[in-house]
Formats: sequence, C-alpha cells, structure tokens
Amino acid sequence: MNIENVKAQMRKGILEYCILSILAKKDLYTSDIINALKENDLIVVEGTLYPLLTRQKNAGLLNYRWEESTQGPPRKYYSLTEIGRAYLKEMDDSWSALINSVKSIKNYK
Amino acid sequence: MKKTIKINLSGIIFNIDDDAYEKLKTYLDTISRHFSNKQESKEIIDDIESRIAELFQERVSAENQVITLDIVNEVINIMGNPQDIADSGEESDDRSTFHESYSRSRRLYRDPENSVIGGVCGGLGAYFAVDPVIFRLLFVIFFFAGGASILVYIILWIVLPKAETAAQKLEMRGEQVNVSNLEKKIREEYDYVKDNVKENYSKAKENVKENVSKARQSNTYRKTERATSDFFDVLGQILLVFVKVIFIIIGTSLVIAGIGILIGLIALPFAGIHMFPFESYSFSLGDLLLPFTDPVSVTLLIIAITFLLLIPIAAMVYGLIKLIFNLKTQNRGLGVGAVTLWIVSLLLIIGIFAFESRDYSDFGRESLSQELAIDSDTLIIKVNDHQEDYLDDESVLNLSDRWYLLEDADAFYGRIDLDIERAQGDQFIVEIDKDSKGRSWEHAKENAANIEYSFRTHGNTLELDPYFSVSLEHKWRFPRVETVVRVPEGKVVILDRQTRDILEGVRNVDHLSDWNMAGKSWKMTEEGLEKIAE
Repeated sequence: MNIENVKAQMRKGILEYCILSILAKKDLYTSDIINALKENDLIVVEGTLYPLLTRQKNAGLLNYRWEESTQGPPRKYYSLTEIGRAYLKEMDDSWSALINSVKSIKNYK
Repeated sequence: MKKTIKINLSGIIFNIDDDAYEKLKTYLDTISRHFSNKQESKEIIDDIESRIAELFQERVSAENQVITLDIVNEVINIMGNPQDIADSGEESDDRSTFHESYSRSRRLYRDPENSVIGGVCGGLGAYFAVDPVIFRLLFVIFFFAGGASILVYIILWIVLPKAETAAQKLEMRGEQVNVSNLEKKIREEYDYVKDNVKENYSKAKENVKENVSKARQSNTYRKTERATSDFFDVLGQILLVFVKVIFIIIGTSLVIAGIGILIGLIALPFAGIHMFPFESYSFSLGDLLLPFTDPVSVTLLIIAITFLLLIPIAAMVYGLIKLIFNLKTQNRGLGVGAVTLWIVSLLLIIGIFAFESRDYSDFGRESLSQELAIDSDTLIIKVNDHQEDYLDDESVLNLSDRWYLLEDADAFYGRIDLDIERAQGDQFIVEIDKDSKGRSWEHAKENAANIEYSFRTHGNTLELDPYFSVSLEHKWRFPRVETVVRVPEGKVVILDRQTRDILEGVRNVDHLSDWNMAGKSWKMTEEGLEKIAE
C-alpha cells in the first residue's frame, strides 16, 4: 500500500465533487477553477483537470460559453446545469453522511 | 543561432525553438493518443492547448520573444504527464486495467525509417523485436513457394498505419510512451535529421525557388499543375515499387543460384562429381591434380582455386542481398580481407604453376631395341585385350581412351603409338622409345625410365600392351611411348584388327589410313608396306 497513491485516490474521488461545488457559487473559467483547486492542494498538475471537465460537460452536469479575453485566447466559462445542481445536491448529502460516518467511526468506543 | 518555428496555439502565434516544438508536439500527441474517444480527445486537447497558450503568454516578453525548451519543460511540469491526465479522465473502477493494457500496448505499424517497399517487414520486425530481414526472407520464400505472400504484403501495406510520430514509433517497438523515452526518441530523430541536413537544405532551396515561380502563376494553373504532379508522383511511386519488386524477385533468384554454386564449390574438392566430358563414375579435383604434382601442392591448389572462385561469387551474393534487403552495413575489414585472400590465392596458383613448370623444361628419352627370335617369315601383331578391360573397370577417369587414371590415383595409363618400318637386317626388331620431360636432361631421362611398358612373344605372335603406365610416385611429365616394329624386306606382318587404335602414321604403298590398315596382312617391299590380297 502506497500512502501517496491512496492520498491521490482520495483526492481524485472528491475532485469531481469539488469542481461542482466551486461552480455552484459562480461561473468560472478554467484557469480560475485550477487556481481554486491548487490553492486548496486538491490538484498538483493542471492537465488532470481537463478530462474531468470534459467528462462532466458530456454527462450534462456542466455547460460552457466562450468569452473574449483582453489578453490571450478566448476563455471557456463553465456553469452548472440543472442536472448538475441536482447532482451536486445529492453529493452534498452523501458527503455530509460520509463525514458523519467517519466522525462516529472515529469516536466509536 | 537557432531555428525557430511559428506555431498557432488557440489562435495565438508563438515563435518556438525547433527542439521545443518537437517536445511540445510529442507531448500533445501522446496525450491525445491516450483517449479512445476521438471527439473527447480533441476537446481536451483544445482546452489544454489554450491553457498552454496562456502559460506561454505569461512567459514571453519584449526581451524573450521565443518559447524555449526550458519554457516547454516548465509548462509540461505544470500540466502533468500524459499518463496522469489520461487516468483522471477514466472511470476509477476500470482505471487499473486501462493502465496496464496501455503500458504494455504494442501496435503494428509500418516503419518508414526501415523500409524497402512499404515498411511492412520493418514494422513487423519492430513489433516482434527481431531483425526485419527475417520477415523479408519469409515473404520472399513464401512468394517462391506459392506466391500468396505478395497478397498478404499488399494487404498489410494497406491496412497498417505508418508510424509517423515519435510516440507511434515507440509504440511500434513496444516501448513505454513516457516523456523520457520520447525525449530519447526525439533526440535520435534529431540526429538522423541532422545527418541529412545538407541534402535537405539544397532541396529546400530548390523548393523555395519553385514556390516563388509558382506563386507568380495563376491560381487555377497552380491547382491543375499540383494535381498533375501529384498524379505523376503517385504513378512514379507505383512504378518504383513495381521495379523494386521485380528487382527483388530477380535478385533473390540470383542469390539462391549463387548460394547453390557456393555449396557446390565448397563440396567440389571433397566429394566426387559427375562431369562431362569425363566418362567416369566419380572423381575429385584432387584426384585430377595428383598425377601432376605432389599432395601438398594439390591441397594448396585446391584451397587456392576454391577461394579464387568462391570469393567473387560470395561477394556477388552478399552484394545482392545487401541491395535487396537494403542493408546499410559497411564492413571494410571483411572486404579488404576477401580481396587480399583472393589475390593471395591467385598468386599461389601462379606460383605453383611456375614452380611446377620447371619440371617440364628438358626432354629425355630411353630407348630399347630387341630382336625378336622368330623362325617364321610372318609376324602377327596383337594387342593385349586384358589391359583395356582392366582399365575400363578400374579407372576413375578416362580421357577419350587415350589416358586413364586408376582408382585411388595409384597410377595413370597412356596409349602408345605403333609404327611399322623396314628393318635393316633380316630379323624382326621391336624398338621402344620412352620419352618424358623433366627439370633437367638427367631428370627427364630418369622420368622416361620410370615409364613401365611391356610386350610378349608367343611363337610368331607379338602381343603389345596398348597402354604404358606410370606410377603416381612419378609424376606426369608428358610421357610418351612409341613402339616401332621393324620388318625385314620380303617378310610379312599381320596386323590384328585391335591394332587400329594404336597405329600411328604408318606409311604404306597403298596409302591406306591407319584405321584401315588394321586387320590386314602386309608385306615389306623396297617401297614400303604393301597389302597382300586375300
């Protein structure tokens, strides 16, 4: 059992949940999402994010629109769809349940 | 000074160093190859490209306008390695299987760097990690065996993709596609390109000139011209392949024939052969040479002759194989060695011949004269039949009944010449002249004395051996035996029919040929032999 591996697996599991959570507050473009995740040590390299975003978009959870940028190429702004919001709601619930479960396991006597 | 390339990343132009470009391209290619879904892959790559464009923009300034390899490396570090990017896109439960199957994956490609026709065999060789020559040989052999292999080849040619990118080339060889491997591969390719740089440069210059002149021409004209040139390009390619295939078929036949000759040559000194015009069952080159010289020289001669013939044929076969299979091996040592060996062989043969020729420089004769004690006035000359039968059975080599070589090369036999002349006295006389050559007069005389020849008399019959013999301890030095039977005037000689083979230039008043004189009775007169009517 490689501890780094396990940690990466845990991070990866909650990464999708985190992306949806970030986008729940406001629409963001890719680099913003990356910065937010990086600041919270959820990703190490940026490349891993793109396949996730594409998959979530293809699953109908996300939507995007193009916005011109004063500097650099046009930016892709992501937003949650209705399905995305419902999905996030469900994940919130199961996340809370999970936290509680872990807490109570730790306090188990 | 460094060459830079202009690239367009998400609509923004960057100047990028050549090596940096190669690395970036390989990186993006590798990522895109990780995704099975084409549509998804394109989208992800687009996103990644636009992010890389952003990162590049942050790193170029008025002073540093060019994207260097360092910048590319930095950006790749930020983006992460292709494996991780691919993993994150997959469902977590089948991730591990994907990972394993990916890292072990090997694909059949055609190898453009190692191609004779289409690179099919090169690709097969890379896939199975064996020398592609083996596959080429198999294809050629199966072509000769049934011809179906050519169809298989064409199908493979059509079906298999060409390995063009560095990642594909790695995959073709079954090496893991990771960045360090790619770097290695790219460096290899870079060196390969550098080697051809001069050639390419001159080509490029020509192309530029051509393009400039083309640009002056009208658009439509340009289009048609390009279409026709494309058409002729394709036609040329097809023709080229066709010629190559024919060349390979012809070349392979020559190679097979050459190998056959080589095997024959190697076997010649050791095994017996059947060869026109020798009516023998079997003899070897060694047996053939042994009457002339000593065994050591014979061995040397055989080796020298074998090399003399072997080396040019081997060189031809080797050259053909190299041409057919496009081998680029250069082995100077081998070539120099072969040429040296060939010259040494030639000199050895010349030397032995020169040395041996001394043994033929002088002439010697041993003569023997014997009166025949015969009461009768008639002499019957017969030929010893047993000797001819014996030679027919025991000889390994028969040169038109004139020379025989005995089995195991014990001795050789030569036919005598028989002449009939007038005797001075009133006695029948037999004269035997044994001639031979030698290093000196003495040696020649000695050699002549070593010629064995015999005849017998029974009553009034003279029985001659038709052949003299020389034992093989004494070598062949142009030995010759002439037997002269002297007949006194007024006496009669009866020539047996068998003597026709040995009679040589006998003068007679009837002017009959030797062949016709045999089997008849002759009387010696003042003018010479005269036929007695029966």
